[in-house]
Amino acid sequence: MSSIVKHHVAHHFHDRAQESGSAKMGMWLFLVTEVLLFSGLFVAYTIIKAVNPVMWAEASKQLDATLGTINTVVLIGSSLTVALAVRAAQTNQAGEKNKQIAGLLGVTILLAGTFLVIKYFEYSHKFHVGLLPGTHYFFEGINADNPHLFFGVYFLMTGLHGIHVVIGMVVLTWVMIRSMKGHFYKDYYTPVELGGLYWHLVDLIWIYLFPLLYLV
Amino acid sequence: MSASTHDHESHDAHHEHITPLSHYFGVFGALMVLTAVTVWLSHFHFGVANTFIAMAVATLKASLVAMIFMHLLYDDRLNTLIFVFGLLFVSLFFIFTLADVMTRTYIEPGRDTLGKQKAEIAALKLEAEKARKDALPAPLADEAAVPEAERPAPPAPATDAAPATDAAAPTARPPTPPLRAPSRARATPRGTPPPPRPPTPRRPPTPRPPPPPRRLPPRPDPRTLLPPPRLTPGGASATRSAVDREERAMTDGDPGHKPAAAKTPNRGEDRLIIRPLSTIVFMYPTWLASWIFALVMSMGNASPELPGYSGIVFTLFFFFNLSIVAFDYTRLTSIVIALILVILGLLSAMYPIVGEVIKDVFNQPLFMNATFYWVWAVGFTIILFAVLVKTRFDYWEIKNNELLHHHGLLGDVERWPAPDLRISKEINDVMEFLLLRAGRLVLVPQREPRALVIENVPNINRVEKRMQQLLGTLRVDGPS
Repeated sequence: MSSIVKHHVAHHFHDRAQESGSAKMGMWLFLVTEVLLFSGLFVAYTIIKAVNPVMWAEASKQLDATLGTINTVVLIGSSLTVALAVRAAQTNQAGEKNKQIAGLLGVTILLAGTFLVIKYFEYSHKFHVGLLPGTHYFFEGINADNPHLFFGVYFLMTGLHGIHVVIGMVVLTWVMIRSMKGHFYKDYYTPVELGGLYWHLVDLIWIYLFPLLYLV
Repeated sequence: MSASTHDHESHDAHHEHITPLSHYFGVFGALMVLTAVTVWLSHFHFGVANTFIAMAVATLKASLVAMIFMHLLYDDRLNTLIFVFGLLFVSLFFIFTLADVMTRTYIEPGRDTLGKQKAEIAALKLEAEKARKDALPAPLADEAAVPEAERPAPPAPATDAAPATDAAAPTARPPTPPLRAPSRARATPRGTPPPPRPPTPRRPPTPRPPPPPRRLPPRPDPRTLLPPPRLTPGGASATRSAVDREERAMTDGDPGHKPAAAKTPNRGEDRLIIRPLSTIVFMYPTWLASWIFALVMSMGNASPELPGYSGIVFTLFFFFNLSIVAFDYTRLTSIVIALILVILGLLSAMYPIVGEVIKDVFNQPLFMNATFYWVWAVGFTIILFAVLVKTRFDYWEIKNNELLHHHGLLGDVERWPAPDLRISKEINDVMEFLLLRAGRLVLVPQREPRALVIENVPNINRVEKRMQQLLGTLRVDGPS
């Protein structure tokens, strides 16, 4: 079990440094497109909030800042474990750390699951009381006009973020399975690293979403 | 043979930097603390500053994640460049959208934003009106702050860093006249007797081997090895050596330093990294004062006189700092200033009227509110952070046989052979030395017509001592 499967550098690369460097650069370009995707929503947030400042402040009080804080801690923790997993892969000499990599990735996936469970409770509460976007809105406790706008933005932003969490879990599961097979060691750990980068981006986005939605 | 293999290995190791566990846990701890700070700060109402502060803290957290967890700090600089450009494009989204949306009512008063149905437009307008009347500061605050809301800082470092680069780290500035003369004069006598010395390749592929042959010839005659700095005619070198001696005295007098290994950031054994700072860092007292006053003023009902006094104290800090940036507090100037202060003190003791006048000047309350301090604190923090980031992209590296200057986002490198590197240390500004133990390093590599001036080197004495150790090692093991 504790052995490694050697990776072969693809023939069109000069050496493994070039291969992993290219892969990483591609990943960063992809991450930039992700940032641009989210930035559209952030612009929408900014404008709708600027036009409806009072409503915004009232509506955001309906969010549970405690749950938001817990989720922030959970996500940052998962960022730490995934970073440690990358480090374990970097120092994996001959497969002795396969289990450690897989374990750390497993903890990351568990924390991601925790995040989604907490999110589920938040969502189901809002569905229940009618804090919903557009015409679905039927909550009566907010004393301001057009509060559905806030929840439109809220569900879009956290929803898109949630989709990213799910995709991240799938990617990390795949990486975890491969790490158990001993595919990653000090000379080749690109998938662990790129999966980690993706996961950190999910964390980065949440670092902004949390204060913007829960604490304004 | 083994040397080149070793080089290759270390090159690979550099590519795949392994971050120490302590860094990961440290960053995690910092992120937790910053999360707590964000939540805690959200309970205060700073008006304009609220969103701004929250975003500044979030940006600090995001930079930590990006630099350490995502390895941007050690990675190929191109990746950082890609990411920063992405953020610049995001800021373009914001600028152009807001420039449109926020100005529509000025251009076409009948039409409101977002092109809604008429009823909805009316509702929006009514709401905006109501908001403006109800809580004047809050909505204004939000409108003003929101354009900054999304990641104001990441683009900021880039823009801030650009001018700072020019100001703070002159790569190879023309030196003061006395420096130029000796180095030129030295170059000629060195050039004339080539036979004993094989010409040194400017960029030796394996830097270790060359020194012995170059070192060996002068060895029999120690006078040729030692004198070069003194060979140069003229009073300049005399004053220089005088200054050197004086500074050596200061080095010895400095109680603060330990074995300098602590200073070197990476593998401390065989290299030293010098990161020159921007002059702005000497303003850290003002920065600290702005944070302290921001927190104190937000704490609620302190003494009603506090705003007035804090304003005076803050302004004094600020002007004191400005004067440090503006002038060199040479030893002479400092003595003159101290004398003036003593004379003022004596005068006010002898003539009470003088004391009264001084008292009156400082008794004028200067009112500044919490928001003012917050804006200063956060703005200043962002600039200092940008300076910190800049030092990652512009630094000097000294190994025992070469001197390298790394600069630019893509990591351009200039290198000079370090044997026969002439070093002088100048501490021109007493205040800068007191604040950060900073000074200026002047390096004159062999055959380089210009001196390399590195300004604002913190911990200058420690750095210089360490340099002597590094370059001194060569003298010991070079000829053997």
